[in-house]
Amino acid sequence: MSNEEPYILLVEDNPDDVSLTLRAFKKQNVVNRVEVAGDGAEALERLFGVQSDPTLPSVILLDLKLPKVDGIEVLKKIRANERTKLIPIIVLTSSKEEVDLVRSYENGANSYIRKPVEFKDFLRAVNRLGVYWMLLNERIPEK
Amino acid sequence: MTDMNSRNESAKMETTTSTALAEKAERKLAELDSPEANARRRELLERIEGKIGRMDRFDRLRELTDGLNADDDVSRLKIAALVHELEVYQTEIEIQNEELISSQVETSEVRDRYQQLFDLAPVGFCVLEKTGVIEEGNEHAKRILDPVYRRLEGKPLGMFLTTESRKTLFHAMERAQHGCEEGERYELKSGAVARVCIRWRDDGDKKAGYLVSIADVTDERRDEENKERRFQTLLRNFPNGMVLTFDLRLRYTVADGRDSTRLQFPKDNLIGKTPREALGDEVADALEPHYQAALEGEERRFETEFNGETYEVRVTPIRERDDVVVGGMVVSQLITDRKLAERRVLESERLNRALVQANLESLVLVNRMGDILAVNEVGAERLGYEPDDLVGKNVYNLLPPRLAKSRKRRIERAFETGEKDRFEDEREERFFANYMHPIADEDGVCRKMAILAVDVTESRKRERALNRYKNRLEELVRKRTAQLERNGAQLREEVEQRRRAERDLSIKERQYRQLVENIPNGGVFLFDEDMRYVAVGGKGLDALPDELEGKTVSDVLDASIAEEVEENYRAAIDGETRSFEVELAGRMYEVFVAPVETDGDKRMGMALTQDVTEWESTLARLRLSEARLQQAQRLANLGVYQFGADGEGLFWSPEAYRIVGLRESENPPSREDFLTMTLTEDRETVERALSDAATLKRRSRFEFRVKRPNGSIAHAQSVAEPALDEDGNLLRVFGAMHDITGQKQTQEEIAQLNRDLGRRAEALETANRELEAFSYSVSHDLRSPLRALNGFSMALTEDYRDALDDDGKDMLDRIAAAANKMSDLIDDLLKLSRISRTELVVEAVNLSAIAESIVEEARQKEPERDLRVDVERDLYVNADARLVRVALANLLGNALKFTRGREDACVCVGRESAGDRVEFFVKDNGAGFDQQYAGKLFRPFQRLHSTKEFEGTGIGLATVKRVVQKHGGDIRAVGEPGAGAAFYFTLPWGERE
Repeated sequence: MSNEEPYILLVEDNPDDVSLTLRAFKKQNVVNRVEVAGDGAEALERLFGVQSDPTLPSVILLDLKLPKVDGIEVLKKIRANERTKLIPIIVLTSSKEEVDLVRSYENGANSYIRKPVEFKDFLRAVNRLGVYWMLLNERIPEK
Repeated sequence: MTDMNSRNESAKMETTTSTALAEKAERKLAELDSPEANARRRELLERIEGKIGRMDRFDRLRELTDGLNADDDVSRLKIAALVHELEVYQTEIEIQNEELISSQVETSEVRDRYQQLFDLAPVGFCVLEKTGVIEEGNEHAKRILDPVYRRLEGKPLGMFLTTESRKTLFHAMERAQHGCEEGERYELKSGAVARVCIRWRDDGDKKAGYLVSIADVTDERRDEENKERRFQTLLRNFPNGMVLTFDLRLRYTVADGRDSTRLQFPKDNLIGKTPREALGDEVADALEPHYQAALEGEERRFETEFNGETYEVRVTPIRERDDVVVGGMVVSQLITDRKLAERRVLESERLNRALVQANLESLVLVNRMGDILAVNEVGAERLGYEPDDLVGKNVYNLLPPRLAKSRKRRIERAFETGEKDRFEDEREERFFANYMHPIADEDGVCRKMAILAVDVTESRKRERALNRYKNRLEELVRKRTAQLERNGAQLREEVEQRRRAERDLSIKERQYRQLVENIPNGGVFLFDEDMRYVAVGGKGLDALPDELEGKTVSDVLDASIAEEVEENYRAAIDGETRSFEVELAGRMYEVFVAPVETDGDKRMGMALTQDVTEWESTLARLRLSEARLQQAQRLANLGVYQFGADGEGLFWSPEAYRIVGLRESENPPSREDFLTMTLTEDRETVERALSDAATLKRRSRFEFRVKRPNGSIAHAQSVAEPALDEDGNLLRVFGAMHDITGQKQTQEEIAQLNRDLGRRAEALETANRELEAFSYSVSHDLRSPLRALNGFSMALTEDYRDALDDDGKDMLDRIAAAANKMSDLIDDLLKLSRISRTELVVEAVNLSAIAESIVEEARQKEPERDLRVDVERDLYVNADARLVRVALANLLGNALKFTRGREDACVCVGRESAGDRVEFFVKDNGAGFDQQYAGKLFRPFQRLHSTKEFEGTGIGLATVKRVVQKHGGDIRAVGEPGAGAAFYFTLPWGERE
């Protein structure tokens, strides 16, 4: 859990989506470790809880509709915390409602991607996402 | 090798040049040997020594020069120069040698390349000795000449040819020695045919021989034979004419053709003869110039008449392989019939064109392919072209593709049927009626068609305008009808209202009549402003004529009395209340008049009469007057009361008793009693008003409510006034109260209606919010499984490619596609859901029975499960049975779901009261939930458990809430993780039927 290599935190409650997302990462040769949180509460526990991971994820993929604590709430909490406020957060959701887009960006999401039904499109999206956020994007080094 | 020679040559030349250079140097040195030159040189050397003495080269030079005298110096320099020149020469020779070697290498490379080419060339090559024996042959030659053994060296070339061809070869070899080099065909023993070209080679010093190139032309010859056969066939079958060939002397060599019999000269008569010999001078004069031209390489085409028939003749040169003309070919075709036809066509076309041009509308003549044969100016203009540019163009290409397709169908059909047809089209806001006239040729087949396009824009526009007017009119009629229908409904409603009002009125009227009829010793008269009696009643009307209704005062009474009566009546109509006495038929009547409120046009008044003849004392009259007052008060819902100076109850009129709900037999209530009767909230107001009247001695108005002993609430307005003696001391307080309960009730009803309206608006808003949430969630949650469908079928295709055949992959593709399609369907469904609504059908519903039946169904589904469900008996609600079932099914379904796997699982349905609130409930002791998320439960698609833990869509409780709210109730949830959940809801109570 606590090795130093950069990893991705995927917050997603739907096991199918988790499986597909992991598969997409694998297919697109994104080799980074992917940690999965099954709901918003679990995501927060991972980041802020007693047994939280000492290494922060390089990027967080966040679904909006989550049991217990929803995505926007998770987003707010991450942004409000001094330690986690700079982690890039990509909202990855089924919703194409404008209100979700606006709320995500208002609360500090770095990117907003709608999960397409067509898996090929999804592969493309994940590929770009992996290349951009894991390879191209310069992160603020952790102290 | 010649190259190398020249190299040597140039090397020799270089040597000569070097000698010349040496001589030149010697001369130059002699020049340098002068004393002046020496002096200058020394000076130079000194300078060099001074400036560049550091450099090694010059150090060595100085070493060489030092110690030599002038003479020695010169000779030494001379030797040095020569040595230098020799060195230069040597270097050059070396360079040349190197170049020579590299060029030798190059040459041998080139030779190798040529050898390779020689071997690989697609043409056979052989080198023959003078005797005809093959010295060398390349691969291709071997393949042609000796396909089996592929050995040529040392064998004579003739050995591979047939006997006959061998002879030809010898001749050719002989000719070749004389410089004649031509290719000829030879039959090979192998059966193949080769074209062989022979060249004589004599290099002088080298031994002489032949260079031979060989090509396999077996196929070529076969081709030629085929062509020849085809040509013969064509000749024999040449329709409608003849084919002739002639040689350089114009003699016919071939004459054939199917129609040759039609010629007067059979073909045999032509062969070997010139036109002049065979056909006579006249024909020959016409033909020979063309024949001659053909022999000069020209192609001719002309028409000629022969024996009354017209022939089209083509004359072309016949060339040999080397393009030399060796004769000519004549193809003549009988075209008499065609000529005539053409003439006719030309004429009809001229006619058509004239017709086309003359027309004011667009006229286009097309053939079956749609090519434009003619078009008039109007037509061209409409299509945007010059008429000449359009002819030959395809009409379909000028139209937009879609239009072209439909037009093509129409036009082709018209061609097929040969019948006139008509279609309309619209271009650039203009309308055209197109009339198609297929033109049949003599054989009945239509090959042309005239299309006349008439601009009908104006009439279409008129038509459209007319249609628009018609539509508008219809719309108006519809609207008017709808309005009339609305008016009709309103009218019916009004009529209904009036009827209800009349019914109400008739009840009141009956009561009134009863009262009026029973007035003893007098009468009641209702009169209008025309002094006409409207209604009359009472027992003491003996002095008056019968049937007063409809008559006026002056009709009934003597003028002497009528005047006084009318005056008082008028005062009453103007709003005054009066009493007067009148004597009629020897009896004395006291008349009390008052205005009557009406809602009609006419103002009315009421007169109460009492026979007071017998009442002699004033006291009696007073009593009478009081009685009348009471009657009037009662009729007007007006009660009076009096309190003494100390608040004691002095007098309450019967109406006042009635308003507060007391019996008249009870003592007049005191001020204190009155305050007790009023509702707590109003008490302060009443107290202040009464004390205002008593202590501040001023009139005060107030409203109050009293709770009557029977529990009903009366609402009244009151005025209180002090009565003072001459010194201004308070004697008593007078008051009047007016019952306004009815009014207040109406007001309350209106307020209630407004509140209902507000609630309905609120419910509507909730429904809208839910709908929004619903559609939002549908777009989110329903897509996830589709994504899984698509994604995993894709994964299957990728990972199990080898395990799947094409059918299998196709099926997976279909699943993926179906998922995509479903995603579209969802969007459509959403739209549908916005439209659908449910109307409530409310009746007494046995909630308990419904709950039991749901549990029974669940038991049947899971017979192995031991379900403990307690349902309280006889829970009745006034609700829509179908919706109640939906709500209970969801609640019980949840309860059973979340208790699954629990051994002591228990679900109960019942009713609970908290204060005046009665709630139904469904409780379980299952998984429960965290109370802080309770609010989320009722929102559509919100779930507190993952799909892994408990299945479900998250819409059930939202449905329940909607059902409850639709009935005006509400629902709440109480839960604790691991300790179960309880749902409390309210529904309108019902009575057991």
